[in-house]
Amino acid sequence: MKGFFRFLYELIGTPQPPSETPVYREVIFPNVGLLTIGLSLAMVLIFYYLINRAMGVATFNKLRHWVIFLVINALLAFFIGLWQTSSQEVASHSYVYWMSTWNAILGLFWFFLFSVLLKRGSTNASTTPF
Amino acid sequence: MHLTRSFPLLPALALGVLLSGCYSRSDMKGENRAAEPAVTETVPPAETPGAAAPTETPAAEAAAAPAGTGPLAQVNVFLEVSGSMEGFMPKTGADAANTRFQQHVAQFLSEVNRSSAARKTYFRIKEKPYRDSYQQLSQTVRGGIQQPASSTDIPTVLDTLVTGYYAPNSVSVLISDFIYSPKNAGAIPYISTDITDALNRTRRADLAVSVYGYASDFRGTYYPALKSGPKKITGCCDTAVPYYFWVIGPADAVRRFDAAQLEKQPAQQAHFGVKYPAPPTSLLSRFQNVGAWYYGEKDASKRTAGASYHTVAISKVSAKEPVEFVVGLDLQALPGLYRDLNYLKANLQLQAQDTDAKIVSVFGASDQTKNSSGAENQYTHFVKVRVTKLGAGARPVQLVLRDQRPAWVSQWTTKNDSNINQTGAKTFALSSLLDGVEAVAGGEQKAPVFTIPLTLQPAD
Amino acid sequence: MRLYTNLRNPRLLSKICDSMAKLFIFGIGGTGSRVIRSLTMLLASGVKLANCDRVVPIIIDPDAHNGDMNRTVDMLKSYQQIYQHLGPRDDGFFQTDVSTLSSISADTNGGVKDTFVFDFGGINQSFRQYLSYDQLSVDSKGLVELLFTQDNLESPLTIGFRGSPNVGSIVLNKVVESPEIRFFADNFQAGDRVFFISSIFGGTGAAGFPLLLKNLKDPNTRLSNAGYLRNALTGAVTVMPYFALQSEDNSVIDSNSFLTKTKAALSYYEHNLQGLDALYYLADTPDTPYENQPGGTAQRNKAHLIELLAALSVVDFMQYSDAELRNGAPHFHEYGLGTDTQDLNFSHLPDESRELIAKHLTQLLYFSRYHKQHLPTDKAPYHDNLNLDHALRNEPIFKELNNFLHSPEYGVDEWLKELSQNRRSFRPFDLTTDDFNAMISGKPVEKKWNDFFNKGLSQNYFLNQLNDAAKSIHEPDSFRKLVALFDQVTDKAFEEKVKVV
Repeated sequence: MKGFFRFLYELIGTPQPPSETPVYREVIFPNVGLLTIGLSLAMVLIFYYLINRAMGVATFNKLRHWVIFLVINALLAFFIGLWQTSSQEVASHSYVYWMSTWNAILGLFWFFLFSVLLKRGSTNASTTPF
Repeated sequence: MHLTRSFPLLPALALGVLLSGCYSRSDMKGENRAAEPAVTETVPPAETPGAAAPTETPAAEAAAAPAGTGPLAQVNVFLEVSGSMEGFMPKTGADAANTRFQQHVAQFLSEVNRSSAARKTYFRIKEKPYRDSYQQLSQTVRGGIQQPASSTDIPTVLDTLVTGYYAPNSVSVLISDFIYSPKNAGAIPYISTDITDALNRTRRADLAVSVYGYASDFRGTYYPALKSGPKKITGCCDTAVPYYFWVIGPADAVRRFDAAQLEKQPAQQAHFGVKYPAPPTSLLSRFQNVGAWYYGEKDASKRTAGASYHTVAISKVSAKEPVEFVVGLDLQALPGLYRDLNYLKANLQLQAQDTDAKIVSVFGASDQTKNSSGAENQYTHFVKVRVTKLGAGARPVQLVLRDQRPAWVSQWTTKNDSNINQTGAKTFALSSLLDGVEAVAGGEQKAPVFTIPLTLQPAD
Repeated sequence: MRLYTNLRNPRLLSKICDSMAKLFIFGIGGTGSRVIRSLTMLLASGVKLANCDRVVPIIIDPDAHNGDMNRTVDMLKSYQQIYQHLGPRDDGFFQTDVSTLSSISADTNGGVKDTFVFDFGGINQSFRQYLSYDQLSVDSKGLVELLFTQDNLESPLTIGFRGSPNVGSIVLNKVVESPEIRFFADNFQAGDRVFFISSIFGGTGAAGFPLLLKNLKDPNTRLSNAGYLRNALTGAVTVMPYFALQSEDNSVIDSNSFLTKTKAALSYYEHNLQGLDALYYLADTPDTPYENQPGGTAQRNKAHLIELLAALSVVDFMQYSDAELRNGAPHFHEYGLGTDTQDLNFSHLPDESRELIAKHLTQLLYFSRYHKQHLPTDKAPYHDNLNLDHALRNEPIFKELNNFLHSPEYGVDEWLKELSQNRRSFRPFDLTTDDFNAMISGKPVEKKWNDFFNKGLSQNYFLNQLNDAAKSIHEPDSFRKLVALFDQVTDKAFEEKVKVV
C-alpha cells in the first residue's frame, strides 16, 4: 500500500528537499492518500446517501450541487496535504504546495470515481452527474 | 593508617636515599646513593580490589567496572624529586613568585585530592617511591624539594610503576621532566628499547599511557641530558622548560582519569594504548546538505528523538549535481588532542570503495550550530563529505580518525639540550621515549581512535 | 407491487373480456353526455366500479354537433387510449376499462362504427319530412297536427329535439332497429348491467329514456338474447331541473316550462316504467341561468355538481350485488347533501360520498397539478429513468395524457374549474394556489416541526417520493411507470400528509 501511494504521489516528481524523502514515503504519502480517499468517500456518501436519500432532500441533486461538493472536496484535499506536511514538520519547500495541489487533483478524481460507483444507491441523485 | 606507619620510617628512607644509587642519574652531584631495597612494607602496593577496605567508597566502585563508569579505585601521584626538578620548584624567594609548574601541579594535586577516586596516594619518587601525604607532597611542590635525589632512572621508575602500582581501575600519574640521561652516546639509540623493556617487564595486556606536555618557567640549575656538554647550567633558564604528566594504567582507567582530571588545562597530548568508546555520530540530513540524498535507514521516517543515522541513500549523483553530506561527531569524551581541529583535519580519513567520496571540510561547532533547533546542536565537530560517483549496490564507507604521533612531539624533541636557552623548550630524546612507549602500548597496529561505519547506497 | 398485464391489443383484450361483466351506460341527451363526463373523471381518478370489468358508454344524441357531447366523446377517446396503453390493473388512475360498443366483440359485422356515440346517420331533415307527412292519410295528418306544433313539424332534427319530448319519442323509436342495438343485443351476456342517464325536463333525454327502456324489456322484441336483456339488472338516474336558461324572447326552449314538463314526465314514470331495478332522482333549485343555447356546438354547459352526483349514482348502483338488487321491489334513491351551502367542499358532502371520492379526487388533483407545474421541468432520477424529456415532447401517449389532464376543452383542470364556478359550486380544492399544502379547501396540510426538509407537501416531498418509487417499481414501459409512480406517490401523499378530509 505504501508503494501504491508512493507511485501515485511521485507522479509529480520525487519529494523535495531530498532529505525528507523517507518521511514523505513512509508517513506523509500513506497518510495523505488514505485521508484523501476517506474524505472523498465521506463526501460522496454525504451527498448521495445522506442529503439525497436519508434526509429526503430532493432539490440538491443538480449538476451544480455536485460540482460544489467536488470543489469542496478538492479544497479539503489541498488542506489535508498542507496539514500533514506541517504536522510532520518537514523542511519548508515549495514542493509542499505542489504536492497539496496534486492531492487536490487526486481528490477530484476520487470524488468522481466514488460518485460513479455509488450514485446508484441514492434516491434523488442517482442520475447526478449523469 | 599508612601515613602513620610511614612517618617514623622517613629517616630510614632518607638514609636509603643517601645510600641508593638505583635510579642513576650519575652526573648528579656525584652523590652515590645506596640502593635500598624497596621498603615495600611501608608502601603497600596498589590495593588488590578485594582486599581493600576503604570506608569511603563502596566496594562496587573498587571493582573494575568494565565499561568504565564511576570513580576510580585508586590514584597514585608520583612526583619526581631529583635535582633536575628543583628548578621547577624553587624555594620561595623574597619576591614570592612561583613557577607555572608550581601553580599547575599544586592545583592538580588539589583536584586529585578532591576527586571521587576511592584512594589517593602521593609519592615523591627518587630511586624508589617515598610515600607522602597530600599536604607533604603539596608542600614539596610549593616550598621546594627537601632532599633531592641525585638522579632518577626513567626506565626503572616506569618499571616500578607498571609492576607495583598497576591494578584495574587505578592509575599512576608520573610528574617529571623526563630528561633521560644515557650513560654514553652509545646508549642513545637504545633509549626507546630501554623504555619498552621497562614497561614490558611485567606484561600488562591493557597497558596505556597518556602523555601530557606542559612548559613552565624554570629557576635553578638545569642538567642537560648529554654528558658531552656542560654538566649543568646554573641560573637557568631564560626559556620555559617542558615537564610532563604520564598517566599509566589500564587503558580504561587512564581514559577516565584523563577525561576527569587532565582536560581542564590545555596541554600537548599524546596517547598510547588508550581505547576510546565510539563517539556518538550521525549523518545530518538538514544541515548543509546538498544533492539528492536522504537517510537510508528503514525507520528513518519515524524520526525518533536522539536517533542516529549512518546510511546515505542517493537517488541521483553526478559531477554536475554532487551529493554533500555532513557527519556530526560528538567528541567531548575524547581528549583535547583528538578534538583539535588541526589534528582532525590532518588525520580524519574516509575509506571508501567504488565511490569517490572524500572529505571536503572539517569544522567545529559554532554558536549557530549549538543554538539551532536541528540535530546538529548535539555535535561538537562536523565532517563534510562530497560524492560525485556511486556504483550500483550498497557499499560501506569508514570515517576513521587515525592515531598519529602529533606534531608537537617532534617539535619538542631535541638531540642536544646542552644549550637549552638557545634550543628553547625542548626535551632530549622525547621522540625516542615515546617510541618506546608506543611499542608496548598500542602495538604495531596503531588502531584508529575511532571508526565510524557509514553506508552509501543507491536510493530505491 | 402491482402486476401489469401486457395486453395492448384491443382484440386480445376483448377476447378475454368476453366473459367479464359489462356495464352498458346509455347517456341520453346533453345531460347524459355531461354525466358521463363526470363519471369518466371519477373513473380516471381511480374510483372503482364494483361488479363490472368494463364500461361501455353509448351516447344517444341526435345533435351530432352538440358541444357537450363532442367534448365528452373527445375525453372518452382520450381515456380509452390511455387505458389501452396501461392495461387492466387492480388500482390506480384509469383502472376501469371504458370502451366503445364495437370493441366488445371481435366480430363486428362492420355495421357498427367504433365510436361512443350512437350514430343516427345524421338526420338531415325536418320533422315533417321525417314523418313523411305529406304521404300520410288525412286522419293521420290530423293526429299529427294535434300532437305537434307547427314549430315542431318544421324543426330540423339535426340539433336534437329542443326540449320537445313528443318529437323525440317518435324519432327515437327508430333506434331500436339500428344495427348498433342489434349488435348490442347480440353481445349481451348474463351478468351485464344496463344504466340509463337522462334528464327529465329536456328534449332528448326525456323522450329517449322510457323509449329505450321499453324496447329493451319488450317481451316481444326481435332482438337476440332477449332473455338476458329482460333479466338484466337495470338502473337509471333521472335528473330534474337544476339549471335555468336565460330567457330570450325567441327562444324555443323556455326553462320556465321545465317544471311543468317534469311533473308530466314523473306521472308517466310512476305508472309506465317497467323493468327498472333501481331509479335515482336528482334535483336542485336553479341559480344562475345558463346561456340559452338550444343545441349545436354552442350548447356547452359548465360541469355541475349534480352531474357528479349523478355519476355517483352509477357507482352506487354497481355496488349492489345481484341478489341485493333483485330483492323485492325496485330501489328508489334520492340524494341529500351533508350541509346545504352554495359553495361545497368535501366536508359538506355526506360521509359515504366523501369516502368514495375525496381521496381519489385529491390524488387526481395532485397528479394533474404536478404534471402541469413540475413534470416538464424536473431534473431528477425518475425523470431520467422515464426519459421524460423525450417522451413528453415526442411520444403520443404522453401527449394524450397531457390532453386528458389539461385540455381547455375537456381536461380535468377545466372540469374542476367549471365545477367551482358553477352555482351551486363544488370547490373542494383551491385551484389558484401552487402550494400543495393549501390545495384542499378547509384542510391545509400541517407542516410538522420535525420535518426539516419536507415541509408538508412540497415539491421536494413529491420529488423524493417519485425518485424513491421509481427505484422500486420495475416496469419497462415508461408511460405505465409514470402512472404507476403517481398512483403510488399521490396515495402516499394523501395517507401521510392529508390523512383525512
